[in-house]
Amino acid sequence: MVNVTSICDRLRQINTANEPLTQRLSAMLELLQRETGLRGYFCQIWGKRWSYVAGDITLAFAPVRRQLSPRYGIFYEQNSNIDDKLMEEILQTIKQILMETENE
Amino acid sequence: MPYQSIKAWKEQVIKPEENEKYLVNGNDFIDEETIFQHLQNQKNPDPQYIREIIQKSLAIERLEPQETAALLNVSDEDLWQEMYQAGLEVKRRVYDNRIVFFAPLYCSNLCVNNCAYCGFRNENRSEKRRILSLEEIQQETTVVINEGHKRMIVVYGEHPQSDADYIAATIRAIYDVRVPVNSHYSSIRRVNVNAAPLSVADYQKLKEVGIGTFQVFQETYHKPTYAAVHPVNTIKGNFQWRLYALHRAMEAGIDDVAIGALFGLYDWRFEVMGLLYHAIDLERQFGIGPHTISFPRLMPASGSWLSTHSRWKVSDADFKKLVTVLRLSVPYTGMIVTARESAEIRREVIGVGCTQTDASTRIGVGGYTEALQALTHLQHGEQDETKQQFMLGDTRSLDEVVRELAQRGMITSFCTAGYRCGRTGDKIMGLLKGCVEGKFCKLNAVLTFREYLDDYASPATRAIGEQLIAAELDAIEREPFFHKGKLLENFEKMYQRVTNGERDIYL
Ligand code: SF4
Repeated sequence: MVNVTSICDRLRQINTANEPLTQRLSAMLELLQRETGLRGYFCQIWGKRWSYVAGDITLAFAPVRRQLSPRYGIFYEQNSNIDDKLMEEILQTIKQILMETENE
Repeated sequence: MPYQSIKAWKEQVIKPEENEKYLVNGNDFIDEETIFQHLQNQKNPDPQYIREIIQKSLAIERLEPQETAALLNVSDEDLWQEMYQAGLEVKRRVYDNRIVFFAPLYCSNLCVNNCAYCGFRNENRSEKRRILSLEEIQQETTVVINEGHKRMIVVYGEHPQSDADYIAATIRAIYDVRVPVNSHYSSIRRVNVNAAPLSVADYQKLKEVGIGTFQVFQETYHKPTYAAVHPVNTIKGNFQWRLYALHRAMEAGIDDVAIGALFGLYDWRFEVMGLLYHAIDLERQFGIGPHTISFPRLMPASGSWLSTHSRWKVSDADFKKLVTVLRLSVPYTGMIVTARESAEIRREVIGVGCTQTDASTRIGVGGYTEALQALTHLQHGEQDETKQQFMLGDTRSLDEVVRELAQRGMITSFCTAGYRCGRTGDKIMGLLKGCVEGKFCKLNAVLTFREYLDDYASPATRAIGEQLIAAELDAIEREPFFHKGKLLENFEKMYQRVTNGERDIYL
């Protein structure tokens, strides 16, 4: 069973790296895929346009789309390792990270 | 307009320093000698070599210049027949059997340039000048939406009154239009832009408003011809500012860009090579090739002697060949044939691999509203040469063209899902090359065709459309790809929701 606190802490940890935001976002999705099997990708939002910026480039269809901040959103494919509560915690953590760092 | 005069505005448009990083040893990527050499070296190609090149295209690999040059040198008609078939097969593998439709909207014919082939050029005194207000843009958009369109390309001349701020405002105005149909609203879901080359800062203004593709045609890649038709004292006279327009767009973060050439200014074989080199340089510098390629042919334009007398005019037979070679050379790209061409020619080139076209097209500034008014006064919505950039070859309604394609087993798609689902830039390139995007094209084509049949189609189109949609649903059910995960299940639920009247559902 995936430990919620630990995974959210590790996402925050990744965000402290001295790298561009897109690389940190990539690293976050790599962690989530490794630990939970979650596949997804981040997009930048420009009006109606959601432009791919980081994450699984081969994932063609991700049924869930969620806006996380005025400028960023995520597409992902949930799986049985992640219940709704855990998913929500993960998304809230990333949301917070984006809100704090988006203007970098 | 913050500039005191048009002259002052013109002087600040070109920023050569923005191009410098893309030059190699100070040179751009069009080396005429090398292109001529390739064309010369590949004379009388061995049929076996041509068949190997065709296999490479069918594997969705972009061709190298010497391979494209070999295809351009084929003279055996039987071999051309094989190439036509391969072109259509490449298109089917990458994009399935769908054709995407769009409507062009000309917002302004004010232009500071003097291109010898164009009715909008500054010195053409017979052209009636007009720039649409935002209200007029919305009126035009309403007419376009009422035809059933979901995708537009907006077109502007180069002028301080139609600068990046005006373009951004018009795009916002278009996205804001919502037109009631049945029990819901319809709107334009993707706006592509055809405008003059911009600076990186100006591209960023367009990125902010959520454009689809930014399109700039080089017109001709042959530098002496370019200089001859674009006077040197004009903005457009600067070959490299235009050549790197899409590099700067990419740098600004617009990751879907479109290239094109105006065929008929110079030798068509050279222009095909130029387009290929353009695709290669975009791939090399950004890892992303062109989203689409266009190949308009020179058409009669008001007050343009060249438009009717060019010695390089392309015959219908050669046009089909050049489209085929482009299809095989850049297999992942979308290919656009427009209503410049007659219905017959469009039929021919859709049959060798075009993926997008327009219909019910009006290219006069304010042309949709005027055509509608003319119809209500029981006149024909005729073309007016003095308000257009050139004359159209096909003015049939969207409904007629959709019906004809359906009769040929091709489904019309109004899909705009890709750029709203992050399938953009290098991500979409990978999916196209892997023949995955076409699968989504198929599903989204069915969803948007269902919308069209229920909201806009005439009874005759609906009758044939229902047969086509039944066949498509059957093909989807039989395709193993759709049985992976919950894709088919998701699609079937979505189809049901659209049938029940929900709109703008996509995957
Ligand atoms: S081709 Fe474009 S830039 Fe040239 S005159 Fe026409 S509208 Fe102006």
